[in-house]
Amino acid sequence: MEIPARGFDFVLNMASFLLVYLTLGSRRGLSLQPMVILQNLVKQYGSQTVVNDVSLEIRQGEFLTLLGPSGCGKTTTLRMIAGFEHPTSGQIMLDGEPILKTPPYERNVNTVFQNYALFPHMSVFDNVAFGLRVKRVRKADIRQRVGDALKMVQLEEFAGRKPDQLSGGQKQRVAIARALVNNPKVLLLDEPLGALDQKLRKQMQVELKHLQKRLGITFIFVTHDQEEALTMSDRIAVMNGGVLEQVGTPKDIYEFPETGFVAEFIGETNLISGVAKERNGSSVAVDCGGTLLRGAAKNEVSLGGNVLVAVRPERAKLSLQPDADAGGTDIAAEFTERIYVGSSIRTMVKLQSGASFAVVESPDRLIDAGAGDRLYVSWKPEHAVVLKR
Amino acid sequence: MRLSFGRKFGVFYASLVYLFLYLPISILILYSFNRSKLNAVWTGFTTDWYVRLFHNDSILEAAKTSLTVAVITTIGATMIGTLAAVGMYRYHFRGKIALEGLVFLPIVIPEIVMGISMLALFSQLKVSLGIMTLLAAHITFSVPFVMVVVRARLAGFDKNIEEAAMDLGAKPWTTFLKVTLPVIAPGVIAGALLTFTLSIDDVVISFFVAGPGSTTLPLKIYSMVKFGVTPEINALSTLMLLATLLIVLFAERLQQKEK
Repeated sequence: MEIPARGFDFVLNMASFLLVYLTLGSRRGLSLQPMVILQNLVKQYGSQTVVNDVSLEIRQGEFLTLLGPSGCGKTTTLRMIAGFEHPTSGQIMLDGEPILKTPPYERNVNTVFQNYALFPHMSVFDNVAFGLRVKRVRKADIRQRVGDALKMVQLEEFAGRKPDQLSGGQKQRVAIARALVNNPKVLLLDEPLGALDQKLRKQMQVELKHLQKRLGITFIFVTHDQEEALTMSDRIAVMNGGVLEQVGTPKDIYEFPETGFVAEFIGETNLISGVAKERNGSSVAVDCGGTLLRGAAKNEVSLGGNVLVAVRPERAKLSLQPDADAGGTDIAAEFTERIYVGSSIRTMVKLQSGASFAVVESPDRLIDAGAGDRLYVSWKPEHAVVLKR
Repeated sequence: MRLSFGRKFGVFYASLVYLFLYLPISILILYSFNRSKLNAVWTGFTTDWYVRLFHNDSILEAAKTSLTVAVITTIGATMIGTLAAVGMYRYHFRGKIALEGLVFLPIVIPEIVMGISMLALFSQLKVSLGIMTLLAAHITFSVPFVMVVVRARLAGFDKNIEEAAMDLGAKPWTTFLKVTLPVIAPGVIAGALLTFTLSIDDVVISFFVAGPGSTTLPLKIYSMVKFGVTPEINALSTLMLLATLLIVLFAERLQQKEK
């Protein structure tokens, strides 16, 4: 009689697991469908295409960053999700529902604006209460929820102040509380840390990230600061000229850039141009002016086509003698200059092609070399990425 | 301490300026309390002229007309001017600059030209002159002033706060009432007060468009002066001066509060 009992137990366990999963899932929104879907989004102003065929899926609870230089269409994309701009074509789905016909004031998303956009004539409390008041939430509930929201951003004592009596960081927090108090499905943040000084900015980055983790709300964050994007995001969508260049985790984006733009925009990188010669699995050999360099190619690289080999400065190594273990990536260069950056030393060398190449060295393992000296640059093959031009 | 010639001359010059500014008004106020019917010799203090003023039906009638016109003009012109300024600020369209220029042009058009042209228009349309034509004219010449004042206030307006309001669930009209209007309120109030003072003391345009039953206070004074300036007119002018000063003081208080 043991086996049926165990079987029954198993069924019971499964059932309770399913129940817990379903209740938790429905409450926290852990559904399998993405929270936000952008489908072939296009935005044109006259003849100018600002956002060009952007498709992207953002999961529930994800911290996604739209990263790119100014004018790349990241803010326009965010504003289309918020409802302030209407796409020329394409569709936006929020939690499974198309929302393009929904006006901004009926979309269950909230925005933190770049300049905070606090209501100057209202106190901090009234600012945060605004969204609840227009939705006619009961007065007692408003007091409770605004109080909680202010506590969350550590501004309880500032409830009675006007925005112009607050510092930049405090205004920022009010803006976040004002948006989050409405329990949005998605929080949109348009360069919210852009106006803060460096130190406060770093601190707010961490705070925001923790807040997002704790609340489990989907964040879509717009920034042009690649370091900020790497620090905070679960995934980064890199945009350039209205086009989505690459979407991936910070590690993916940094270690395996798919385009030359991504490689150069995220961190610093050395790009050596050449022609793809042969392919061996994911490894591609590239002829760079006579020297054969190997690197990993994630996307398609047509043999015989112009490509770029990307190497991060901190992945490259300098030596006085050719390194036999370098696996073929050992190229001659000439020392040009050394730049002291504090935590590291940046050494610039000139390749035989005339292109300059940066290497980050640690201060305690410096090569003894001066201007004009002959050196060898090497890196492990897996640290070089081959990109389409 | 001896003053240099330059300093002495400066004091003398400044005194002259203030004398010219305030002497006539002081005389006017003084003679409104003069017992004599002539504005020439002081014969003793009296408040009779004020009492008589409040028993003069035709003056009271004119005052009533003036106040009615001023209040309705203030409300109408402030509403039209504010909405127009907000609209002009918010939307971009072809020919916007030209249209803005055309709205502000009436400020510099000579009043007499405005008056005559309105009279011509009304007679063309066969509209009989009366309180309605008076209102139409007053609202028309006041709107550009409201627009100028409100527009100045909008220059420092952060458009994002309107988007923030909508983002938080406020419909466009709620956004206007709860966010836009309170922020530009000092400009709107200043525009309203300006309109009130413009309307209540307008002579030239009113002269052309007022009908027999719609004489305003300034028109009444103007017609009374034809038979000589009486202390009664002095009293009336003093009261108007007082009312205007109160309005300006009120406006100033509002501005102070804002800061």
